Amino acid sequence: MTSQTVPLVVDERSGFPLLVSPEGAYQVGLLPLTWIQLEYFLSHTSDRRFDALWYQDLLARSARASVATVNATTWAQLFVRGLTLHETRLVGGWWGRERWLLPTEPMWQAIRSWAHSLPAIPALGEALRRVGANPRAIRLIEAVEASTRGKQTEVPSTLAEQMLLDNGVRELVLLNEASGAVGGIGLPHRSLASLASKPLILLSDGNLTRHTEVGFRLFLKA
Amino acid sequence: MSNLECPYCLTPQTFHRGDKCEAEGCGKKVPRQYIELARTKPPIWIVTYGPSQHGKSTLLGSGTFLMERLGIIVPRAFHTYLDEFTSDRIAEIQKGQHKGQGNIGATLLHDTPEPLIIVLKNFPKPKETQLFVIFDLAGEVVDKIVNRVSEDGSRAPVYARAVTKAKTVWFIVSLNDLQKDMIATGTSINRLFFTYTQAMEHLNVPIRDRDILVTYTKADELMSKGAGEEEGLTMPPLIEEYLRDDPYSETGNRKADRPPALDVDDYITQLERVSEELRFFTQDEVTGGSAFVAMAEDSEVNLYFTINSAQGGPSEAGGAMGTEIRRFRVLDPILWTITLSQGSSAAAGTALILPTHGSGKSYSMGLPLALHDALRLYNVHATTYFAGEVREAFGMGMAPVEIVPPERRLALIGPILDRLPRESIVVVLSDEALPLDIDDFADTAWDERLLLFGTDIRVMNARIRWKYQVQSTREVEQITRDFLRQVIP
Repeated sequence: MTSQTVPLVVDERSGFPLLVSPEGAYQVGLLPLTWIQLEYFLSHTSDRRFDALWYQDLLARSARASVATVNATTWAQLFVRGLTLHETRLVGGWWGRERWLLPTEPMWQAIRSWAHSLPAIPALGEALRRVGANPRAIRLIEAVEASTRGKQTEVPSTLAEQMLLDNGVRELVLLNEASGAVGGIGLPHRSLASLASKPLILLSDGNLTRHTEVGFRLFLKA
Repeated sequence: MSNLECPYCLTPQTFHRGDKCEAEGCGKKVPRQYIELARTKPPIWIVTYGPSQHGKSTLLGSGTFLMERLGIIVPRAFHTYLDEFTSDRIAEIQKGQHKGQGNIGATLLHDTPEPLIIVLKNFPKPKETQLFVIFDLAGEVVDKIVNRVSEDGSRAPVYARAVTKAKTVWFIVSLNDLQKDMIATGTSINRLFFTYTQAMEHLNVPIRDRDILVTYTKADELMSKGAGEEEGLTMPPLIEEYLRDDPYSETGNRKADRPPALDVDDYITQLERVSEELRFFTQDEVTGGSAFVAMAEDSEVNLYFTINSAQGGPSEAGGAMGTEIRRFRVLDPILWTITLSQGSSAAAGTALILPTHGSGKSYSMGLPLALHDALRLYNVHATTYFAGEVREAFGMGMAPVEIVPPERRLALIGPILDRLPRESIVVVLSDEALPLDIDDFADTAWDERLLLFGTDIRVMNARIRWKYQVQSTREVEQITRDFLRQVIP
């Protein structure tokens, strides 16, 4: 594990933190996409598909927790899960159609390996304040850290743990560019233990089907 | 879409179909400049309220004389009269004053008095613009207003609605004449306050935190009297000195020396000092004064005092005598009113967030406009949004009327709050559905600065501090007042 510092930047759309990948090619969400970020999109978009009924339908399948009440069993509900691939493309496109990309499995794994090689960012909340992150983002991230910590021994030691790349929520990745096959990657946290059997699952008909255990992480071209 | 009140009938509307007022019974063409300016900054409504022959129109005559020459004391300042009535009326008042015939300019009683619409540019500071809508009410209004607003089934006359509209009302009183009235009819300064409060009560408008600018006119009649002259009220030496030392008393007169440039901050400090001195004078010397001040304080009305001599004295009135009029401290009421109209910096960026569904009870109860008005009463000029939409629905200070909510939007407030300045105040209105993300703001800095109103009992489930279920528009004003007193120092 090296002691190099990780460049943190702030997403201009929502004020949530992004990490700059090793070669500087990408900016990657520190955490999977949150409901707060999705709500930013919903408050800006003029796409009438994303209306109150659509939101209620999504909520019914994967609940939304409030930062004020989140705890060790509900923290995963801070992250959006259950968007179809088509919706993910529309939502991600709000961050820039030319910038947003759905990571391939190797791309996601490369980020995971890199993050495993780095120590967790110390005093993360302070670091986020210094880069001007959205106060709601800071509060959410601090709440996640507090909720996932459990015992003192579980303090994140690597950046990967801090990013919830392990023990987080499954994330959408592109498995085959030609066929458009997608999968859910990552080992979910034990609060989602029933789904923790495999590190990668193939998602059937991902374009239209909601897989309520799968979220996604922003990958933006730098 | 932005909204503003027609200056002639006071009905809020969008003016998006042109410059003609669409209110029933009005239909007047509203000056384009008024519409454009009012869209960027709310007008300052002024109402002159006082008995007949106490110098209301004379003060306006001298005040506008000075306004027409503001460039002499404030670089690049100038005035514009926005309609023909304003130009003609001011010319008429000034003509009467110059001829020493005050009655020429006297205001006649109408149910629908026309306002004077005046713009001052680069005043009192460079790049500042003031838009005034001034209702110079006839003296008889004081006697008639309570009966007129008490009449069942009829809409209150425009003059009564103007009184309720103005945050700052000018109580115009000639102390010498008031003393005479007291002897002749038993009328004191209390009567003004009594009729004002009665009218407001009948129109269901709270008077708390309104500003009353008591403007003592004909100060020359109270100046130190020579030997042998009759005894009466005598002004405190400090006030007399203040009046005599007015550097702008001869502004615009022929052969007058050029006065010093106006240092507005310094001038306001003097106004505050004089106001305090006049408050003591009123309590100690003016008949009924101590009761008047006590009643106003008890009603939580803000009292300010100013004094002037609009034409220097009876002997100087009338150009025919070859003496030019000296106007002592006629600028003061205008400067006071501008100062009182300025919102607190703590309230900058205030947002009013409305429900996304038009079928809700809050719209049928008229709560959006009631909330907007309640905020404006405290010089808080809110920008209005719909929950779930970051785009402004109504610009800063614009009344939310002709509301078309975006039905498909989600009840979200976070994306709006996150864009506001740090010290902003937010007032949220909800119906059955609470904002989906309201609890995200519990135990945050917003908890002190976010006021949630709901028409449904479920509003009490929100985890934030300031939450209320409301059943009527009247409750809104009191709750808003308590909230603002907490958040605005």
